[in-house]
Amino acid sequence: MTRPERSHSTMTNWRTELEQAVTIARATFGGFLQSDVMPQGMQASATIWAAAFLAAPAMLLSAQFLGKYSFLQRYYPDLLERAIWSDRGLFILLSSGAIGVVCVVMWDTLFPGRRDVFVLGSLPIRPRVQALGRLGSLLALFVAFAAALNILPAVTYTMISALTVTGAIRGLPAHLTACLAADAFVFFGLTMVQGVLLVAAGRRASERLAPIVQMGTVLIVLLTLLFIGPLREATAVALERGNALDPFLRWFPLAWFVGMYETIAGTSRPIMGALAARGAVWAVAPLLVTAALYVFAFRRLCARAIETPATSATFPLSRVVSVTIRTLLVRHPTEQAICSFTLRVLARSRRHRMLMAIYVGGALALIATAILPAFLRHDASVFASPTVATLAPPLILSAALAVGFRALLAIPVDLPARWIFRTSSLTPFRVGSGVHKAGLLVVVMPVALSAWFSAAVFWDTSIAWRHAIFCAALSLLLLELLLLKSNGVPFAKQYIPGASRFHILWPFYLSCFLAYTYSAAEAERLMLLEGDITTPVTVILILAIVLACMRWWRLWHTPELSFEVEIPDEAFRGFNLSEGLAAQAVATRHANGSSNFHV
Amino acid sequence: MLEARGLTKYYSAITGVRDVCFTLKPGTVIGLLGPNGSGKSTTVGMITGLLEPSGGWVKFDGHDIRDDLVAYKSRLGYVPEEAQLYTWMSGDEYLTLCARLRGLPPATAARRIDTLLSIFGLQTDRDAPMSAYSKGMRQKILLSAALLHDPSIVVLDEPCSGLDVATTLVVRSLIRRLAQSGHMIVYSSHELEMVERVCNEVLILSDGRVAAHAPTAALREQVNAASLEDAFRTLVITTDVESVAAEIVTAITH
Repeated sequence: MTRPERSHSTMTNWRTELEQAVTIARATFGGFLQSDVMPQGMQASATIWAAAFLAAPAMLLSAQFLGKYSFLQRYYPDLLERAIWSDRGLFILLSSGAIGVVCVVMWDTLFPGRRDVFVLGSLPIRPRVQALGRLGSLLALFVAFAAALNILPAVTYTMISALTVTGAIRGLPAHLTACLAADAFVFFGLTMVQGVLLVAAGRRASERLAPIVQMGTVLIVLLTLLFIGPLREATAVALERGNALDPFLRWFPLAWFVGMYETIAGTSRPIMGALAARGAVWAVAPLLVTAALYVFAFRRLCARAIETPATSATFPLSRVVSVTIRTLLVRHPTEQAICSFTLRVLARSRRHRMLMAIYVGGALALIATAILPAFLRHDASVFASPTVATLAPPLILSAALAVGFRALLAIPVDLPARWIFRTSSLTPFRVGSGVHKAGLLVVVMPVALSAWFSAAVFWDTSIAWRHAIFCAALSLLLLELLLLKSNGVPFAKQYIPGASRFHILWPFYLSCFLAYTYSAAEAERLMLLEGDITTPVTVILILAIVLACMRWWRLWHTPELSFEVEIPDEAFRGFNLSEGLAAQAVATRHANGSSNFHV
Repeated sequence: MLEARGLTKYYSAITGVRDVCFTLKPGTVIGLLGPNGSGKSTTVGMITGLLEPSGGWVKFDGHDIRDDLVAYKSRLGYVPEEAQLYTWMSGDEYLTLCARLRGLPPATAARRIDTLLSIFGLQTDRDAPMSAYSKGMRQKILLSAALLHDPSIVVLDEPCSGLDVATTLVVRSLIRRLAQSGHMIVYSSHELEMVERVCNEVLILSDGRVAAHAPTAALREQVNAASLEDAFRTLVITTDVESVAAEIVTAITH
């Protein structure tokens, strides 16, 4: 009699725990898509648009390849196989790059934090159930994004590329499996890195290292996308050679996943099987390590989340720098408050650090695309004299820092805590001035320093000074332009996406970027050859002063600080759903007054 | 002098508070009482300038505060109901931020911050991020931030929440002393005993309206109550608290 009762009890416990794990997984998954940055009710639509944005390139590619393979089969059959490898590699790269960006953006939510531990820790739920629930939510997140990225492109591409019925039947699972495996390699590779850092080095150290990992990931993703053509070509060439000992095939992940694609699609090449096996191992291994971290180190992860000892938030060197800045640059107390608040948010808010890491990672990738091709063509002689490739990097960094700085000012931090600004006697002019000085420290100073050092290392100090002055002047002009309409306390308003109208104005922004970086670098090169940069720098500085005067005038005539989001009129007219919903959400909040009330 | 007349606030079709009137003279402590949802926080929001009244006005020294909010806020100290802080800052950094926002000279700010942190026993944790602070420690930071610039009006919304007994007693004495030195204090709380001990006047809100407004002793006499708690029960609480408690016990045990 006892044994069946125990068995029944075990079964009931098992079911209860499964239900608990599913509940935790659902709640955590919902939490992944929620954010206090944006107005209530628009996170879901923003996520849908983000997924659509990520999936769109692959969808468009399928349409672009329409008719390509039948044409090649008929007229250039020798090139067909290589073209198919190359295109399949393109899909794999796009998908895994997008999932890498998703992982970076969601970095802070991937492992249990303080809130999770406090909420779940007091409930009668076994740690293994909590771990299972969290792991389930992570898997669901991966599957949701991977499916959104790959299902439609897989169907359309298979329909377009399949030359036979068998090819179509095998092509769909092949596409999905290879892309999902590549996505798993990237996604769980990053979660594995984060988990290992958390367990081995602790929460504080992993938080400090996070921006570097995030920056590195963005750098790799962007470099992959920027060099996507040569990478696909090199992979296809290596696959054609079919040498199993080729280092490219052994160590370049794209080759493994193309091999997996080909194996499932039914290739007869033996090299593909070996590559597929390697790809399968590298897709599963990070997932297993992540799962093992969750299962075996969950208690430790939870302890790390809440037991991190409090240590000083400031360092002696930072005090010295702070005093110097206060003495030399920011003298008014209100400006000091706003400036130091801005710098601390950029340095300490995990969200802002992550976003700044993305901007800097993007800049580094673009710098690499400027220097690498020139270096490969000319070896070290590319650094012998100033060229566009070697003069542009500080300007690229300047563009990333200035745009990143301006964009991050609009992203809130701890909104409920902004009451301190709302109950202080602040004037728009002083606040604007504090933000501007923070901008000088974040944008102009690093650009000037990097320009001076790079030029001093490669050429001489005379060029270094001129290069630094030119880059600093241009950075100042860009900063003035970007801050021209800035208003209010930074990081203290809800975020409304789409204010920059990037989806419509991207050609304009791209042109401005190219003019600001490469064209300006070419102009500087010519001026350095002639030996005089005084006139152009003077003109740039006059323009910057004019913009600064316009900003001062506007701030001086602004009666009071606004803490409510300003919805651009165009937001209602545009086709961008997320903007419309944002506007509706904010309008609703204005109508019922709830946004005013809490803070 | 702080004067509120006909203060009204609507949230869309919902009335937050209606027709709240009071006058706060220097050296006075007014207690703001009321059950949850009675309009205390809305009233505090309008007094602090965080909320714009739908009707009525608040005048400070004869001037509508909304005519020059910046000047009014420079005379205001505020402890919010919830300890909402930038927890990635240290206590020292946060107080320095507040001091600069209030325009205090650096030397004065540094001296006052040092003193307040010492008095509240936060010297050893002054450089630690506030995310590691206990609720009481955060409350002490909020109190320090509110008093740092020696404000004329101090608005305290549940200031003793999370504080230990000793610090609560200190706050009680502090309020009395601030009042004696001419400060005007608005004290919003659910702790009736504390309100009775420190406040000269009591404003009781119920359903967004003023249920009673009188000096504390006079209020007790008006309703013939032995304590403020009894007066509050008589004026505001319509339900039988004992039967509600019994119902809860029944609900969880059956």
